[in-house]
Amino acid sequence: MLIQLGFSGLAMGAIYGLVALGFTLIWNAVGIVNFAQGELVMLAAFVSVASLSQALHLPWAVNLVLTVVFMAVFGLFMARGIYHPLRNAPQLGAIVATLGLSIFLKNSAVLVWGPDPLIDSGPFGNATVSLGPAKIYGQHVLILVTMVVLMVLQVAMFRGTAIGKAMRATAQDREVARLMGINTDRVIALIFAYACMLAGVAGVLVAPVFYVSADMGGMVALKAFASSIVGGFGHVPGAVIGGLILGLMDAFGSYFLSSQYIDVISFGLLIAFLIFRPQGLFGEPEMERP
Amino acid sequence: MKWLRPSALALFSLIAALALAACSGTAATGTGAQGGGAQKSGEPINIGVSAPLTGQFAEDGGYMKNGINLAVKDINDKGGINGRPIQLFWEDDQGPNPTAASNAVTKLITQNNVVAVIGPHFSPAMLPTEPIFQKYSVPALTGATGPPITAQNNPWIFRIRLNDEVGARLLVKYAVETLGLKKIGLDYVNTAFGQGGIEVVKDELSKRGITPVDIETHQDDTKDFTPQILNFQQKGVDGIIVWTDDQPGGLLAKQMATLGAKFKLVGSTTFSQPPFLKLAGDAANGAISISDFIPDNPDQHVQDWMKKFSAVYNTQPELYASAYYDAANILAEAIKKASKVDGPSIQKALQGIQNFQGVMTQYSWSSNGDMVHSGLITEVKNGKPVVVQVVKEK
Repeated sequence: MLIQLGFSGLAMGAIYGLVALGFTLIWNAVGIVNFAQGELVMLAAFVSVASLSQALHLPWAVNLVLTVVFMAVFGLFMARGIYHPLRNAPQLGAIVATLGLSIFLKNSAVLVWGPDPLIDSGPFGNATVSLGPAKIYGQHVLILVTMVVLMVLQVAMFRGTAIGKAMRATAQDREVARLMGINTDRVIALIFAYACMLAGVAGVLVAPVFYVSADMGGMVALKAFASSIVGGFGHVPGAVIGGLILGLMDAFGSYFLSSQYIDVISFGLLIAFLIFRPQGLFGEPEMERP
Repeated sequence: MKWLRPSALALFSLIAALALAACSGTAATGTGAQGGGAQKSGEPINIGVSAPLTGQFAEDGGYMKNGINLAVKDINDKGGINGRPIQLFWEDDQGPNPTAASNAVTKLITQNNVVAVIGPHFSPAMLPTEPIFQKYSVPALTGATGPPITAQNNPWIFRIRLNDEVGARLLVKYAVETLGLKKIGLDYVNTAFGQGGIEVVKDELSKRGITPVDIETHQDDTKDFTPQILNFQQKGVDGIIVWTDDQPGGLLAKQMATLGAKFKLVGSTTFSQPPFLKLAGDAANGAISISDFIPDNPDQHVQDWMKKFSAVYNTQPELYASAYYDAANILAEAIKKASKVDGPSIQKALQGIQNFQGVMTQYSWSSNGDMVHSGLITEVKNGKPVVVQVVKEK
C-alpha cells in the first residue's frame, strides 16, 4: 500500500517538478512569472496525442523527440514574440502577456482539436509492475525513469557545455553576463526554448495518465507554482524537490486523511510556507529581482 | 426597450397582419413550404439556451446543440409555432459553473428577451439561477437531477429528467436487492449534484439498515483516484455507489481496472453515457447506472429516434441530444397551447402537459415541477450499456 502510494505520489510529483523547473528557469532568467506554463504542457500533450500518436501512429520515442522539438521552436517564438518586445517594459506587462498566452492557447486548443477529451494509452497501456503486493502503473515507472535521465542530462548540460554555462550566468546576473560577452538575448531565447521543452516532456509523459483536455493546464500550473514555493522560489533543484514533496503529500494525504480535504491540506501547506518560511526549503531569505 | 417585449411584439404583429390583410384584400395564406418566410405576422419567438459550449463539459454542450437544433429546425420547417418561427439564442454556461450560468441566464432574459430558457443543465449551475427565473417570470426547462432543483417552491422550474430523489433510491434498491451488495462504499463529486445525490443514497441505505463502510469525495478535475480505490479495497467493499460527472467517472473506472479492483461500480447516469464509455474503455464493463437514455433501448420510440437522428447527423444520439430534443418539443407544445407568447402564459401551459410522448420517455407535470417519473437501470456489457430493468416512481 505504502509503496504503491509512494510511486504514484512520486510520479505525479515528478510532473509537477518538471513544470516547476521550467517556470523557475524563466523566473531566474528574466524575472517574469510564466502563467502559461501549464498551457504549454497542455499544448505538448495535444500535439503528442492528437497529431503524432493518433494521426500518424509514430512510435513513442519518435513522438517524444518530435514533440520536444516542436516545443523548443515554440519556445523560441515565445521569446521573440512575447518576451522580447516587452523586455524593457515593466515586468507586470510581460506577466500579463503570459496570462494572455495561456488564455489564447486554451481556447485555440478547443478550436483546433475540438472540445472532446483525448485518451491515449501510452506506450505501456494499462500494464502494471508488481512489487510484492503493490501494483505500480507502467506509466508511472516511465515518468520516474525519464525524470532521472533528464535531470542527469540537465546537470551535464548546465555544468559541462558552454551554452549551459551561458544560461546559468544569464540566470544569475544578466548585466554581468552581458559584460562578459554573452549574447543574453539569444541565451534568453534558448532558456525559453528549454523551459518549453521541459513542458513538452511533461506533456508527453502525463497525457496517458489521465486524458488530454484543453483545461488540463490550470491545475498542473497551480501545483507547479506551489512546488516552486515549497522548494524555494528561484531554486532550481528546489523546484523539483518541491514537486516531489507535493506529489507525495497529495497521495498520502488522500489516503490517510479525508480525500475531501486534500486540496485544503496541499494549499494549506503552501500558505504555511508563505507565512513562516517564504523562501521555501532551499531558497535564500532575501532575493534580488533579476 | 419596452416595445420589444414579447407581449408587445405579439400585439404589434397582430395589428400588422390585420393591416396587411385589409390592404391586400385577399385571404392570408400560409406558405408552409417556405417555412413561414412570406408570413409578415411571423415575428420570431425568442428562446434562450444555456449550455456548456466551452470548458470541460463542452462535449455535452455539443450534444445538446444537436438535439435542440434538430427539434427547432423541424418546427420551423413546418411553419413555426402558430406561424412564428423559433429563434434560438445560445449562451455559454461552462457546465457546473454557478457564476457563468447566472450571467448566461441573465443575459438571455434581459438582453435577448427570451420567453423561456432551456437549461442550465448542471445542478450546481441551475440552483443559483432559479431566483432569476422567478424574478423575471420566465419558465426554464432543465435536465438537472439534483433533488434541491424542484424543492425550492419555484413554479417557474420544469425538470425534464428523473429527479435523483427518486432515481437514487431506485438505484440503491437494485444494488441491495438484486446485486446483493452488503459492504458498500460511497464516492461523490463535491458539488450540489454529487452532494444531493449521495444524501439520498445514504438515506435509502439507512432505511435498509446499511451503513456505508467508507465515504470518499473528489472534484470534477480530480485525476488520481488511486488513494480512494486503495481505501475501498482495504475496507473490503463489495460495491461502491458513485454520484459524479463524466470524466471523474471514467478515470475512476479505468484506475479501478488497472489496480485490479474487484468491487462492483454502481452510480449516476454518467456511467451509461458515451464520454464515460470512451474514457474508461474496457474498464467500463460491468458498470451499473440509473439512466434515462441508451441507444440499445428496445422501446419503439427510442429506435425510431435513433434512425431519425442518424439520418441527419450520421451518428447515434445519446442522453443530452435526446433529453433536450424532447425539451425543445415540450416547450414548443406549451407555446402553441399558451394563450399568449410570454413567460407567464407559457408557464401555465407547461403545467398542463400530461403524458407528452417524447423520444426518451413520457412527460407529465407534477406539482413540484418534475415531469419524468421513470428510468432505466443499465449495465455496460461488451462496451455498450444495456437495459437490465425499467423502474418507475411509485
